[in-house]
Amino acid sequence: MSAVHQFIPSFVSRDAIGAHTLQVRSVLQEMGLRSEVFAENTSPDLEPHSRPYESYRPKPGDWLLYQASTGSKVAEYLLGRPEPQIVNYHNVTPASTFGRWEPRLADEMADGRRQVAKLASVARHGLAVSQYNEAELKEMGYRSTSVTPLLLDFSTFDHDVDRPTLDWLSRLRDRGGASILFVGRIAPNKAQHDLVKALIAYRTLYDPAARLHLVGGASSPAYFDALRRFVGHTGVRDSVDFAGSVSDAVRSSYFRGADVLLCLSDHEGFCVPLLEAMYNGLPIVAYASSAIPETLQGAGILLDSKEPVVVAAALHRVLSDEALRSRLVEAGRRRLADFSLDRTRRTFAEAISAVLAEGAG
Amino acid sequence: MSDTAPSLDQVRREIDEEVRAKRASGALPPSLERELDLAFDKFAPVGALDNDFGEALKAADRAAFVNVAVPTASSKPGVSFVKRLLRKAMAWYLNYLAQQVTAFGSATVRALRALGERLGAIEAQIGEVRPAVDDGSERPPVAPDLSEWVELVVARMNGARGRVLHAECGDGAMLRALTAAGVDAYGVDPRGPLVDGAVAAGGDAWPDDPLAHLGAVADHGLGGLILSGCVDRLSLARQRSLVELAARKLAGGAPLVLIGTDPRAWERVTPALEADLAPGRPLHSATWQHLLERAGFAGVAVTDGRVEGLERVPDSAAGAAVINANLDKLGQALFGPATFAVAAVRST
Repeated sequence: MSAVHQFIPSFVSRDAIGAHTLQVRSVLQEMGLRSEVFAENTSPDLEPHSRPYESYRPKPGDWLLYQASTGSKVAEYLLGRPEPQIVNYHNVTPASTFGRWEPRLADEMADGRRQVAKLASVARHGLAVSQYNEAELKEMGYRSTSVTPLLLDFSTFDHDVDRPTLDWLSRLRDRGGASILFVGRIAPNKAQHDLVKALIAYRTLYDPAARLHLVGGASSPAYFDALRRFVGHTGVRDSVDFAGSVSDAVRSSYFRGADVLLCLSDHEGFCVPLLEAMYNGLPIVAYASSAIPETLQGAGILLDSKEPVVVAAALHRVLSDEALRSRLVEAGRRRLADFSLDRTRRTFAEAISAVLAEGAG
Repeated sequence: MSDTAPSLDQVRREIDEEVRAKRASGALPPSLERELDLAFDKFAPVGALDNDFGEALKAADRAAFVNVAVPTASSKPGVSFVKRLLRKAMAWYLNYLAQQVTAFGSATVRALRALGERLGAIEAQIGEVRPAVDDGSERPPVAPDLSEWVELVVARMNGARGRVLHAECGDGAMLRALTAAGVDAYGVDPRGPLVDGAVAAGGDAWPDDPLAHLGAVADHGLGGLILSGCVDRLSLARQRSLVELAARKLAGGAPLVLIGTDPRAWERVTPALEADLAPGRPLHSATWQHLLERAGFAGVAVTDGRVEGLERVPDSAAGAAVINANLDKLGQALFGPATFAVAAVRST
């Protein structure tokens, strides 16, 4: 029996790539393949499911599958391995977005991209989670590629809500004013400062009581600091909620208590929170950058501009037009079906079968 | 789902309409959007490079020292003694290595510091020769008078296929004339208060740096381009970039009109503050003509502006013909035309 073993830099349970890795292992095992996960770092709850990457012992017929999302020692290790390899590319944030804020992180990102590019010479195939990512793989020299979306179990979106958070959001709603939500790490590429600008325009033009909820921990302290000072300087301190890194229950409460999801990111390789919004029946307004148009596929209002007045007008339209809101929510539900676990697992299994068959041939 | 809901394309068009209406109403002054950009930039660590370098050197300096005094504490009985013994026994060897590594680290930091000082000296020298940057945003907002060129510009832009950009548009007087003639025109200008005025008067104007805006426009996306104001005070390198950008952003066959100030008249007609702080100087019409032709523009034609001559004597006065002819020659020699227009068409 052949084996496809996965290698991952950080195997973390509350992370989309970690969850994807577990699903991939299950798909591979269902296909009758041996499959283990080898990681550089593992969160304690996943330790029973993984081993340190240095402990890998090769056997004939092994294939190695690398979950690529950042610079890592694992990639360097794989570059020296003779086994046939597959790269599952989740995108690496371009270093340019972080360079000004976190030079060291930017270096890591640049390393990550260089490593993925170097792996092109040894990998037999590149699996990309979006067409946007596939185009990058091709640009980096991958000759054989295919698109297989993230394997996401939507039931993980379906947590019990955190009652105090939901009650607080309900009280805010009762006082009037829209609740605008963004979920994602506080980082320059997520452009939370543009969300604040849009909030200011929206409050000035349409809804003086509107609020912005930013859910997600900070991955760039310098950017977070600038963002907080910007919020203070512009006088919207009381209208911007920095929720930070929250539990699944609190996260669910935000999705259920908000009126719209607004995403103005400059770079997203896939953007799972869009799917969470669809799942929770939340309409979406998003800036058409990177993989966002592809993930949305019409299940939201896409904007070509991030100018505050443009975003404000789009928010107003979505929040004041009930027919449009219903249409977007419905489109979201339909789009979500494209990412159903049954479908994505099947796509993934087909792609792996094709790669292995070609490798055997 | 509601069957009566409009298509998303239709919704986007309606949002665009709403944006235009909100802008025209002045409810959100364009200068506020610019102020928000500037406010955030103020908190961004762009100017932190020098401090970072100093701090990085200090950190490297601290790390250059290799401490051979290995900690020997232990909670287990006897282990601390063994550690101390090992440290003592290996001290001769570790000291020898540590001295060399420390020497290398210290020498590297010294070399970096010397390099930093030389770089600082070069940056200081560049600062002395580099002209003061004036993007126009800090200047007193004086709307340029382009009335003399309205007729020519409208004639050239009439029938333009696609949007026509006016950079810098000032108070939007030219935009209004173009719009009245049925041309789909918009403008940019770095001076927020002027743009607010242009918007209040019904023009589609934005507070933006002309070069930056032009750089962001899609290639071959413009149906026509009018350049004025900025062309007179950009550095030579940016004036050349402007021509290259214009060639890249205009669609094939699209018209361009560049309204410049004659270098001889520039100091006479430009406010002292603006002239002194400008990073560059205006070019002669012949130079613009040359640059445009080299960038692939066709039919490049120069039109001189009015000459503000000396006052003529009445024709009835004795010798009026001779005196006036001489006054005209003198006026031409002393003043010449203050401005000129260079019109051209982007080759297909």
